[in-house]
Amino acid sequence: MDQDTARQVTIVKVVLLIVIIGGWELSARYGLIPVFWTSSPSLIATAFWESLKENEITYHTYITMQEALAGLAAGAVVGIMLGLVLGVSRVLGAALEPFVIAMNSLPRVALAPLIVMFVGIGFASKFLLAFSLVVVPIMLNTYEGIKAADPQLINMMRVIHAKRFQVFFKVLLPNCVPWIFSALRVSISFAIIGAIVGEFISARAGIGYMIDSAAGAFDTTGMIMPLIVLMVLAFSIDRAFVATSNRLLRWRDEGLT
Amino acid sequence: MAAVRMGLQVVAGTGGPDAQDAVRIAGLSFRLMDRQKRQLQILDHVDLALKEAEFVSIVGPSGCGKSTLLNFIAGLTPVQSGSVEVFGTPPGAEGAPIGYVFQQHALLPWRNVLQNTVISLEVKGVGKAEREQRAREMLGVMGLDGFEDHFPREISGGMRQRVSLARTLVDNPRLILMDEPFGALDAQTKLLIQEMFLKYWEEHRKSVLFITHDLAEAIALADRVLVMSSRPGRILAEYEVGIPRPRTLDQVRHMARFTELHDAIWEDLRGEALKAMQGRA
Repeated sequence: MDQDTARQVTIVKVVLLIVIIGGWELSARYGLIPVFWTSSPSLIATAFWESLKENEITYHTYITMQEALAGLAAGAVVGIMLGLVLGVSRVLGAALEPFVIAMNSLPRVALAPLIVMFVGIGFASKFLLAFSLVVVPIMLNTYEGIKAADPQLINMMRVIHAKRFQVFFKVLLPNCVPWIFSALRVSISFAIIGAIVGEFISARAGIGYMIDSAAGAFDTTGMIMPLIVLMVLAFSIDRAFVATSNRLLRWRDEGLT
Repeated sequence: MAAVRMGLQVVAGTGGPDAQDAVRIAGLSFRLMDRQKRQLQILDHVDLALKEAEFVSIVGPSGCGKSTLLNFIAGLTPVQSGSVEVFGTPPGAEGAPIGYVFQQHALLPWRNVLQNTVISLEVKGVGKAEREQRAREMLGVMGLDGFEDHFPREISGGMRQRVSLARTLVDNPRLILMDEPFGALDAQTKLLIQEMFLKYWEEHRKSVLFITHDLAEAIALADRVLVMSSRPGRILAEYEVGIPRPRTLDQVRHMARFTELHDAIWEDLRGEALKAMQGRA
């Protein structure tokens, strides 16, 4: 993208943001849309400020992010390990593939009640739910990353008499890094979904709990405000992740956007 | 070598058994199953000898099994029937001093030019300082000074192929297998790299087996040109080039001997290339 286009895109982005928020606020003020059902930006901002002063939103966000990020981290470690093992071992990989895909086609959210029954309504159930949503896609992507290694590169390594572990560390592993990164990126939102759904089932804290309580009181503003906090947070994490990954994967043709 | 027709003033003694042979192949055949489970004969009783410090080109129609032949010598494909020896040992032996320049550069995209060039030394366990010094020297020979920090995607196709060449030569192999190494380059780049490689070779005299479909390239670089048939691949004819060295490419191309060889080899190849084309259509 050249500089002129980039500037135009930025301008359009800002205009869109102003139009959406401004339009929403004005329609609410002039009674075009009922505030009871859709709230308004100023109500949400006020609610956010109040909640911030009470240290409420910060606490619940902290709880949810802790569950999601712990699930993401554990899911990434386990998923990458399993993916590497499957990718390196021809027999194991081919044998386990259908099982893994069957697991993956299961809507994991439906596991939530079962998980809550097993481990209770505390941190563990949300952590496990986030973990279960994240681990399979990361594992499958790692596995694909190994399978997608250019056979020519492996031939080159064989000609120079590389040992198996050298082929693994110098070709297969670096080859999966971009695959792992793109899996991690989608996993950020998967992990948050897992944590929130866990909180919906039953919880004493967290964004999901906040939304659920507000819903019980028909408090639209109270439901939308945490959603927006979550959205802004997830968006920032995604941006930071993309920036990091583009810096690390400078050798690739095109980065993530 | 009953099947081989000797073309134009063959110098006696080529291909005979010799303790100095870099590569000796006898009666090598190779079959594959295709997707319909039909037997596909790829190579049919190939005999070939490459002497130490000899430069041999192999030309042949596409799909005649030229690359397969190199993979046997490199030990990448196990031998089915016949025998292959590299410096008197079976192919793929530990520590065999072989370099292989692939048609596609086969550079590791996440390593920069310098890191790519050192890979064979790194795998062997040569120390960092020494391997980087040797790599820098070889990159200098290839005219790549100042590009050490670039990733493969940041340099041109011709430069990538020179890095690939530097990576192969830095290990100082006694035998270099080259599979259409300059085939994907544009005409000018190709000429420059050919000249560079010719100069290097005439200084160092490694054994080279050079596969190409470019007749002019085959003749201008090599001591001997082998012509392969369309599938199943056999050695159809053999030509001693006999143009004195050191050579320069523009001079070689205007020599009567060059034209004579070019015509003769094309005569052999035309029928085979047609067969290969019709087999495909």
